[in-house]
Amino acid sequence: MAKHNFKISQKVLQETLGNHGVLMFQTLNYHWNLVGKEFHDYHILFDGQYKKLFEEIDKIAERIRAIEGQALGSMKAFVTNATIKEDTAAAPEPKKMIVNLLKQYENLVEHLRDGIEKLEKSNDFGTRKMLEDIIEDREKTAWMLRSLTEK
Amino acid sequence: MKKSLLVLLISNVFIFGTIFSDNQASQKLLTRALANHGVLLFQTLNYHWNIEGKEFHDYHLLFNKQYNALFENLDLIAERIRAVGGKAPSSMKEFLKHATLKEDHRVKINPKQMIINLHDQYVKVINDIKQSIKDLEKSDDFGTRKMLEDLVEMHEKTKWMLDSLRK
Repeated sequence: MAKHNFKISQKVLQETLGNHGVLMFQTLNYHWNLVGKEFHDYHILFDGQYKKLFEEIDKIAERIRAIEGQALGSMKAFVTNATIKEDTAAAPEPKKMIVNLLKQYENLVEHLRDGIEKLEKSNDFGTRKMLEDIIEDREKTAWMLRSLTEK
Repeated sequence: MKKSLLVLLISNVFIFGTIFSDNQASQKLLTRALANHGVLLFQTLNYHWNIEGKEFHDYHLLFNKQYNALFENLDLIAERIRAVGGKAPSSMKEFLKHATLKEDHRVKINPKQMIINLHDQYVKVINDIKQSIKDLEKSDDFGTRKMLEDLVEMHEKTKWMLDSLRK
């Protein structure tokens, strides 16, 4: 396998890892700081979402190691490598949380699409398959969030 | 006269503050504990992923157990902050701002050094929480104190295991 293929995969995966960290902390923020009549419902919803993201973080980091890259070693490294921005603002009202999360899932999926395109000529099929799995699952969550925003 | 009135006013505000801001004291030290758990969580993840050497399989599993415990603690502490009327930190940036533990950014560390580093971080976390328990001595926030005591007990066990490994 050509070395440069690994390099591209490693970079895409490291960015994806960073993005999952950003999205996980945003979800934790909402899970914890949520206030309103939706509290119980969304608290449980976000609980499932952040736990899923945490599982994915481990999988992505181990994939980076499997293709001989270095996994991100600190929160600072996660923030630096992420392509989506951290939302450091105080938690908004519940409806806005759903809208914000949906936007972040869309950003994350968009980055994955670009990543898969970058790997088009690579024979790193394992990484491509993983990125496709991630897209499929994040799109499912995005659909659920979108359904919550529609009347 | 005016000056002494002002001093009186300020000291009253101060006394009022110390008596009635127990929850604020709890919020503050819980936020620090939460942020430190975040730093320790990512350091443990780092070692879990980037470890190399004959200890790989053993330590990979050990660190897996440790980071899962830390991740559970993260949720417990954040929810306690909310329960005592505070706001939980919103992002990694916020976590880093509140943490007193320093992040270890190196990804190439030998396994023995990993154990030493983690051990030292646990010592710091434990000492910080012990200080927090002392700081709450006059507070009636027993729920927070109990949680901090649980954390000390749990982390002292991990510290003992790390200590046994580094000898």
